[in-house]
Amino acid sequence: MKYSYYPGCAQHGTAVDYRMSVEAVMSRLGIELEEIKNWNCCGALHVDDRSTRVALSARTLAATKGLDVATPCNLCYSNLMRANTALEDSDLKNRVNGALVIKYEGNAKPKHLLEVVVKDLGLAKLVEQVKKPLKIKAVPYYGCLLTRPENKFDSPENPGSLDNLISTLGAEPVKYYYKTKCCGGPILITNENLALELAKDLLVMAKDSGADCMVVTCPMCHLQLDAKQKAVEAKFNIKIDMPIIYFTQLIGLAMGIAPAELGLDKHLVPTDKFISKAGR
Amino acid sequence: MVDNEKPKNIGVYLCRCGGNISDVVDLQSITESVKGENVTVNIQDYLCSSAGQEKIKSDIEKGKIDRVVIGSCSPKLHLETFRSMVKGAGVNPNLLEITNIREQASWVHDKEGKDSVNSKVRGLIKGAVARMSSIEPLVPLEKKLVDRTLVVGGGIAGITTALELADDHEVILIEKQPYLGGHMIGLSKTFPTLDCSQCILTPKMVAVHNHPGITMHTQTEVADVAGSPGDYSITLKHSPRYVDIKKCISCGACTRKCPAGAIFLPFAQTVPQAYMIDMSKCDRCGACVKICPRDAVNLDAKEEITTISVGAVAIATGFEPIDPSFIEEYNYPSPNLLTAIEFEEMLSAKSKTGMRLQKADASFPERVAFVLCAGSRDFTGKGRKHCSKVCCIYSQKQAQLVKKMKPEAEAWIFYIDMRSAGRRFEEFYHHTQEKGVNYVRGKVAEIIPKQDGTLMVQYEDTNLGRKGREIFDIVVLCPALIPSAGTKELADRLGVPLGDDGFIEEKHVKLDPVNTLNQAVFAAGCVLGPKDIHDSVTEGVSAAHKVSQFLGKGMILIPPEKPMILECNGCGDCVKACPYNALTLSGGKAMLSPLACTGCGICVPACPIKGIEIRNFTRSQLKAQLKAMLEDAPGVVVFIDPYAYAAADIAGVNRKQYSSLVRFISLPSIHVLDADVVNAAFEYGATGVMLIEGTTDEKLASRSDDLYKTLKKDTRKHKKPLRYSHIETAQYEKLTDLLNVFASQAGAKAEKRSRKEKGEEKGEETMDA
Ligand SMILES: Cc1cc2nc3c(=O)[nH]c(=O)nc-3n(C[C@H](O)[C@H](O)[C@H](O)COP(=O)(O)OP(=O)(O)OC[C@H]3O[C@@H](n4cnc5c(N)ncnc54)[C@H](O)[C@@H]3O)c2cc1C
Ligand code: SF4
Ligand code: SF4
Ligand code: SF4
Ligand code: SF4
Repeated sequence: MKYSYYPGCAQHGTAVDYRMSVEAVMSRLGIELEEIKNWNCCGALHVDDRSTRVALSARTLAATKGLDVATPCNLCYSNLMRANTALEDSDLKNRVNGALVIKYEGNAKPKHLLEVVVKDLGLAKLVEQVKKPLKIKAVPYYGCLLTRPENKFDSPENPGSLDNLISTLGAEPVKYYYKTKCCGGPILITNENLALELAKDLLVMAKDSGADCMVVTCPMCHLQLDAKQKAVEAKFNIKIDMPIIYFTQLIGLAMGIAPAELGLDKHLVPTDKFISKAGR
Repeated sequence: MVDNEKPKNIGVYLCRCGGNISDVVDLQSITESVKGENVTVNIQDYLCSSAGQEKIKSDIEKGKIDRVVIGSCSPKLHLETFRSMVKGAGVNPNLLEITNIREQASWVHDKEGKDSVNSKVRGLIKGAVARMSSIEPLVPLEKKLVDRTLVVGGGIAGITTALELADDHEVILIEKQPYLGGHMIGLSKTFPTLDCSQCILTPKMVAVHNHPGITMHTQTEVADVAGSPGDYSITLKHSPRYVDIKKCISCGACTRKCPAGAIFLPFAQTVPQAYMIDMSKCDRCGACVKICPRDAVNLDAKEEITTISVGAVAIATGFEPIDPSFIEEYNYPSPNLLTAIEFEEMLSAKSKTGMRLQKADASFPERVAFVLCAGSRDFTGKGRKHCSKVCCIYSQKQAQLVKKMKPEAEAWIFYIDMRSAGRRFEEFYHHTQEKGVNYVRGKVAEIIPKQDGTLMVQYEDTNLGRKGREIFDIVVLCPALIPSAGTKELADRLGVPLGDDGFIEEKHVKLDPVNTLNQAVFAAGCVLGPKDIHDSVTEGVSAAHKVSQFLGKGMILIPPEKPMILECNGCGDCVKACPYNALTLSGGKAMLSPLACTGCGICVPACPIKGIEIRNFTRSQLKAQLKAMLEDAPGVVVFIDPYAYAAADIAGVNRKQYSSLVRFISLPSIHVLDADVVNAAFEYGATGVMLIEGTTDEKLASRSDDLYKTLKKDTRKHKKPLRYSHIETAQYEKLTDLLNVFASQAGAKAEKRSRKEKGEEKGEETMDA
């Protein structure tokens, strides 16, 4: 299984731990990721102008060399998907292609890494690699951009693929009503109060559910829920102490990969208690 | 035949329908092209008015005409009226037919050019005139009715129907639950007067139980239907109760002895008053059998099958709530998140909480929210489009009950529109407001269950233009009310069409609200759409009246369009083909039992020597109609059965446009057709032919594929498109889509052919030169 790989800016910045776990896990699962040469930022949620945003993604999509393009980031994924839909408008496509050196034909297929693992590889294959079923409870948190407004592999409002992945690894996905609520990450700079409030809602509900960790699929969610967890605790005067784990880290643990190789020592919320509970 | 020899004077009467028709169709020009030596044409503003009818009658009485073609609205509306009028004037009712130029022309082609609509109507009327000159007067057959009625469903509608009928006609009432009462026995107080539901219902249930004219079976459903209208043989399936209703005296001795809590009385007021066993709990210890003083318990009771003979059926199978779990953002089911029906039941005869409103932890809720339109008025394709009608009012009733039980408690109603139309309801709304209930206009976005058992409701208040969240102890969802499970199977067995919302289709929405398209089947209550008790009772009374009227005649008239066996060599093919065993061989010849025959026409193409014809749908009569219909302009001929015809009527009522090239020929069933007729259609200029059938009778529909294949093979030489489609009455949108696609395909093919022909002609010319 080979994919064109679009890591997104965070993999080379704040989400080193994510990158480490992606590399450790994907190679062992036989999923080959060929990083796109000279890729650019997807614009995240910060580029307002629609044509510019679409053009940024089109440039990436044009460089995928006929392979499906995989990305580990919900924002990148959302932008690539939205660009593909927007480019069905031939006027826009012509305009965008006018600005590109390598023209985009409109035939690339963006996939989130979660989809690659759950659907392309399949949970039946994954379970063969599980050496150490994880005896923990985990919150399946998808974030607001992975499934909405729609993707082709899960329900927008009540997705289940991450839940299924968690059970496959031997852990118990807890009932969590905020699966697709926004974590506040994208507005952290512009409206910190609201951003922290949104994160608090998620974290409190996660805490109440009795889970040992919260599983995420996006470096932005991770940044907000892990790095800003202290700020939430301080602002609302509560204790959360909830490890935020990338789904690739969770897979890695179940496969028996050493926590350090998965970047689990790089989190701001300490993960050692969680790791020992998970049976390492 | 004497009648065939004297010239027929056909009167054609076209109706303006107060502009409904004449604004689109140029009736004057139709008149000019249709009138002829024996054909007079007359235009009226409203043919159905007494003036319109009087005109036809006086023309007959003056001897001017002896056959009538009417161009007006669908025959579903006024055919019977017109026919009884001409009968009074001395003309065989059969010799009046209606051509539908409203639902099938002016209402569905008004966006097209006038010329094409006029051309269609001209074709239809000419076809009808040709048909009218070729058909023979027939006298309907009479069949004795069975004077007994099956009422299906023991809710308030079924109970009312049964009681209203039973003094004069024998009634069998079946109910699938172990007790009577339907949803009403699970209600608390009833709006708008707030009287207690069981207080007004129990006497009715007891009356059903005690009425000598009513035989009641609980835990019973229809398993099969055989026979024909007026004379049905219906198979019933009775599930076991394990306690003999007739013997049990409700002493409760068994319950006291049962170690498994398996034998019980559903609730104190249950009718019939008898205990029952839940076999999933019972461990067959036999204690109840031993203790029962009446020997009423039988642990080995089995499902039973019986057969009853009835003349009429009243369907009163009511409604069920939609399962709100499909609204993912509401997270149903969750503790303290109830449907309105669960709320009612807590405060009803069926209560398991001692008639107390309580949370999962048995305490009284301080804050209760009602979320309206949960699954109703939803055009996204996930829920139902219709308004469930009663929830606006019952939720206010429930809110009043909360306030009454505890005045400091809060009740909030989240609504889109507050619908309180009709007598006493606006007052009820006003009164609820005075009680201090909170109203929020806006749809609830999500309901999030909290760890402590409370529920958070997120909403938008569209009056104040802001978003909000509130925490409640109990949230009540008011689910869409949909037809109860099994309604479709039952309706299919009885040949009764449903609307696209799944409720039973009335014979006429306004004028025949409790009749169905089957003259022996009637309906009442929520199976015709959501409604309150008052309206369910009104319909129960009406249905009883209609059944009584139907049975009172003692006879049922059977359409006289039956096969005639003109020639026969005794091969027996038709006997084998007939799905209703209506043909036998007797003395080496085929013989028909007209009362068993449904007139389906399967025997017509079955006969290898073309010895069978259906009266008034003979090959030559159909051809005559086709020829005249296609004389002036080509079109797409659509042979259509009565169920699919009803779909076309609904398309008309909804003004669903489709190609004016479409010309329907209405048949008792598409199975009367053979290649002779279809080939003739092509020869006379049809650019394409469709067979559309809506019957749910498997005996017919299962043969349609073969019919289609045979016709396709035997008409191949024309190289014109032929199609078959099954369209149930509810599927009118599918019908119009299909007609459009087919008409344009047929048109394209015809154009290609004519280009080719022109090319060939040219080719010939050049050769000549
Ligand atoms: C929450 C709620 C509150 C309401 N409150 C009020 C109120 O206060 N006042 C008011 O006027 N109206 C109220 N209504 C409306 C009222 O309940 C209905 O008008 C009434 O119950 C309709 O009666 P029905 O006989 O048509 O249907 P149902 O009550 O549904 O009865 C149908 C019966 O048929 C049986 N059945 C179904 N299928 C079959 C089958 N295949 N074979 C045999 N039996 C079958 C069912 O078991 C049931 O017993 C309320 C409705 C709801 C949902
Ligand atoms: S057989 Fe025993 S368990 Fe079953 S209902 Fe009777 S007493 Fe109860
Ligand atoms: S009656 Fe009221 S609550 Fe029920 S569907 Fe209609 S508008 Fe909604
Ligand atoms: S199929 Fe025709 S010939 Fe044969 S028995 Fe029937 S009517 Fe007679
Ligand atoms: S018309 Fe149908 S029911 Fe009647 S005899 Fe022919 S095949 Fe049988």
